Amino acid sequence: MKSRINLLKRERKYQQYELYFHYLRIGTFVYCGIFVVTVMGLLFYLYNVNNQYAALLRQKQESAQYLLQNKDTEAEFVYFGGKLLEISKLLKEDVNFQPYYNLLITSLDQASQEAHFNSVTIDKSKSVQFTVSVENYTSLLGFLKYVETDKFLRYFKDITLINFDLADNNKKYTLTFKGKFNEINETTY
Amino acid sequence: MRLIKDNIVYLGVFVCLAVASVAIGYIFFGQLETVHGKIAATQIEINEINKKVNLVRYSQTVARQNIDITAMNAVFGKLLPEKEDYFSIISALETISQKTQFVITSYQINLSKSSPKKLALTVAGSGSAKDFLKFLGDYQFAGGRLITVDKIDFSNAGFSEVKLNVNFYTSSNTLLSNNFNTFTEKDLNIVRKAQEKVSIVPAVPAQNQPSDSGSYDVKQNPF
Repeated sequence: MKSRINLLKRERKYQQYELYFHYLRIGTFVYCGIFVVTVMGLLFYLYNVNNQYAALLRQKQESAQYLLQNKDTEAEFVYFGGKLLEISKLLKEDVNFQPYYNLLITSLDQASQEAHFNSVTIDKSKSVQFTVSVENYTSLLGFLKYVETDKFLRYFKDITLINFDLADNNKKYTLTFKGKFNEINETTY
Repeated sequence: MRLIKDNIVYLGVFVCLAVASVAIGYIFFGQLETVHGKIAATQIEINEINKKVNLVRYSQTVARQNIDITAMNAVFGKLLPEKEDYFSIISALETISQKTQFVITSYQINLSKSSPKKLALTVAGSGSAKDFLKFLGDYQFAGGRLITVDKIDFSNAGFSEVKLNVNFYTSSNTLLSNNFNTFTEKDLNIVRKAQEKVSIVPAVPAQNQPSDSGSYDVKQNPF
């Protein structure tokens, strides 16, 4: 069988391949350019990341060095702080009587010279019950007027008159109050 | 064939670039992941170290407020011992009695209210109202042991013997957490109050201690 060559068809295919290879050449140049730029970018990024890591290592070393120089101070302070916070927590279980007692006496003194403090009970939740006696009716009115003012009430979360007695031939009035103190400001502990 | 032959260099370069891209990408991202992992781990370590560094710096701030931390550790160790020491309880009650003139006449262990870390006592005492008030102002620290009271009844009229439920504590050796920030003013006031009320007898330096060796001749050979 005799082979025949169709030159027209071959020429078209050849031109098509030539075009592909032309694209390949351009693509290779472009790819080469992008490759070089990308590799340089990646190396630069890696260099920066490594620098960042090196800076962190230096910072860690400096901090560790400082800590090593002050390890006794740190150990002492950790013990000190632990104990202090524990004591502070335990003192919340304490009635802490005196500041509240002083507060009560001072405020009662402001009420009236003739109002006499008799007794007080305070517990660790700052619940309070106290008894006051007043010598005459005018003082009683003055005292009651005072205990209803904000000046007195601001010390308490709540306060109620739970008992009122008349003694000594209606000359002495005894009043019993029950309530709960507001927490005293921590700076005035 | 001729086209391939003419472009073999480009073809080779293209293939090489493709292979190199994959290889470099693989190596780069591997490296990056490793470094990022190291950075994250180092950052965590630095944060932990910095918390401790901040504690040291804060301790210097506390010390500047006339608080001697070394001395206070001795005071706190006395106030809250690691183990219960009954002698120090008796000594504390005696000391408060002496300091306040409020005489403690008896004490009794209250087992129902005690726990491994808390010893509850019912204390009876007598004195004037003024002495009792002084006792109430000082009892927390003045004896050299931390004392708390659950409830107090105080009466001006007919003041005689008083019974109080007092608590003594031992410490669970709690250390300050690294996440701690600052003390409150109330905490610092506790330190000042303890500093003022509790005295620590300094240990006698060895050179000041009487030496027995000066009184006796030491013989190396007894024969």
